[in-house]
Amino acid sequence: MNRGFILFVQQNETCDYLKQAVACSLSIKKFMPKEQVCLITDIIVPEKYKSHFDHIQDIPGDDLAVDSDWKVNNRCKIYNSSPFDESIVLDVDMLLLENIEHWWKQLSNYELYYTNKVKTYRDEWVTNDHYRKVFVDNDLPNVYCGFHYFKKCKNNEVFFKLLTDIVMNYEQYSKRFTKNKSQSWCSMDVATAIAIKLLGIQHKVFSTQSNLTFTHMKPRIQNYQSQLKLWTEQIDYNLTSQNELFVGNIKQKGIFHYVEDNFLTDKMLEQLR
Amino acid sequence: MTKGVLLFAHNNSTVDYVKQANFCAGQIKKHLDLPVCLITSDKFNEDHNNFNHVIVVEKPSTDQTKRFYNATHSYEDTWNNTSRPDAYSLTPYDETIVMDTDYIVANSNLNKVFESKEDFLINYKAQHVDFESRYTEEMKYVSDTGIEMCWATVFYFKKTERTRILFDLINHIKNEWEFYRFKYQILATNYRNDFAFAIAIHMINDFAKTSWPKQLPSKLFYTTDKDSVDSYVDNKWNFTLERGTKCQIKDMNIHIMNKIGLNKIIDQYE
Repeated sequence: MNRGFILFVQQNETCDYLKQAVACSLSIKKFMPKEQVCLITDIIVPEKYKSHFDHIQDIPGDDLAVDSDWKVNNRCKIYNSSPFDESIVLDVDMLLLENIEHWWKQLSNYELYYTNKVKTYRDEWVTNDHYRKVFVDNDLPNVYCGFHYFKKCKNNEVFFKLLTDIVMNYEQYSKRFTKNKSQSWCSMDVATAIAIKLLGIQHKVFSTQSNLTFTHMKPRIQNYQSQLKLWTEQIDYNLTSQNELFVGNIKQKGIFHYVEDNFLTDKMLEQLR
Repeated sequence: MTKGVLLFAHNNSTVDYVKQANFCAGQIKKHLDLPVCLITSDKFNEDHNNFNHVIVVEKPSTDQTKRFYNATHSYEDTWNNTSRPDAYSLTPYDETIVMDTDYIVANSNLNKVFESKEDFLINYKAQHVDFESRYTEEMKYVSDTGIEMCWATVFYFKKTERTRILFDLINHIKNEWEFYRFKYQILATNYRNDFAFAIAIHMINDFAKTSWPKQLPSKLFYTTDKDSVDSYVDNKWNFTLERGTKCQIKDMNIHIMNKIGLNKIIDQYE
């Protein structure tokens, strides 16, 4: 079985996601040089970036995100586009900060794995539901797509077909599954939560004890009192020459989802090379 | 392996810490049956006879002050808290419990530390006796965005290479306090042992949270310096809490932060 990491980037006018994908890939290869990284994108990748990816795939089919500024809708196509039998999908605004080779073994116990709990930079489980009202109010599983895993298998074919249908017909699904509180835009987290709920597979795709998660840097869930909009304005952080990331002088481990685009500087990108 | 309790007392014009330490030592002997060593820079009164060892040190030089409250009244005075990091080098025991002189033992729970394989034990949480005061974020972390707090009010250590390094590190943090309080986003300017211990533990754990050190086998209960200390009879403390609530506790170890009020009770008790 071949395996690898999938990064998904769609052209966007406001942010250089491709640069983030390069940084993410560099961080993976820094700690796990033999791992394969596949970039799925609609961008013509400049030569200087091509060498950072083992595979570069086009986004197939019609663009499902034509009317969306936040180009995530096409992410449901990752399943069919992945060149791997086993895939770990990461958001591009993430950095890998240690070797997670052993995660593959843990993940192989699942056909499909999503994390439903994330951590703060202080290594605490996030309990604040500030950004999760749609999930809480509608009793949807608390899915974070930022990090997930799938095998190529029949059950997952069904799952991702359904997910695609939800994305394409989000308004109808939203009316039915997010009655109590809804959001007008389609987010992959909500669409995935609906798919998991519809298929009743919560017990198969989550783990109650697992360390297979990531540090989520959305500012309102960090258990601090400051009301500043950006965590990068609130907390000191630095990436050392050994690729150790310190946030508030706390060493970060595993997968770090920095969220804020200004986090990744050119200097940091150079350090990761 | 020798076992004992270490107390530090440096008087100022507001609080007679040596007198407080003598009372504290009396309770230790009664409930823990352990020898007590006093580290002090002050004149030693022969009436203070609850100590097995007394080590006289030079008065640590400090210019830091704080307000000492006796419920509603307060006094600005010197705060000399800088010798605690020397616990490792000064203790005459192989296994040592260090406690504040205003931490009053009322049961034998702390003796369980000697059954532990751990080389260092401390509290991460503290609980006000009213059980209503929220455990605020301010008490949970050294600063709003900083690391997890620990309470150096009472702790246990045995002499190992790791604890030697820990205390060396605490001394280093004390000496470079300006740098470390900046690095750990601490707003208060005074050196504080709770913070220095938390930082040293964080550093020794490679700047991350780990399962070391574990918690003491005794929860840290406290009353603040805004609470009045009313009486002490038969291992029972009576307090009037800041909001006026009367409160009585019995057979419970307690950190009585109102040092002035505590000393008045000790005067009556003696």
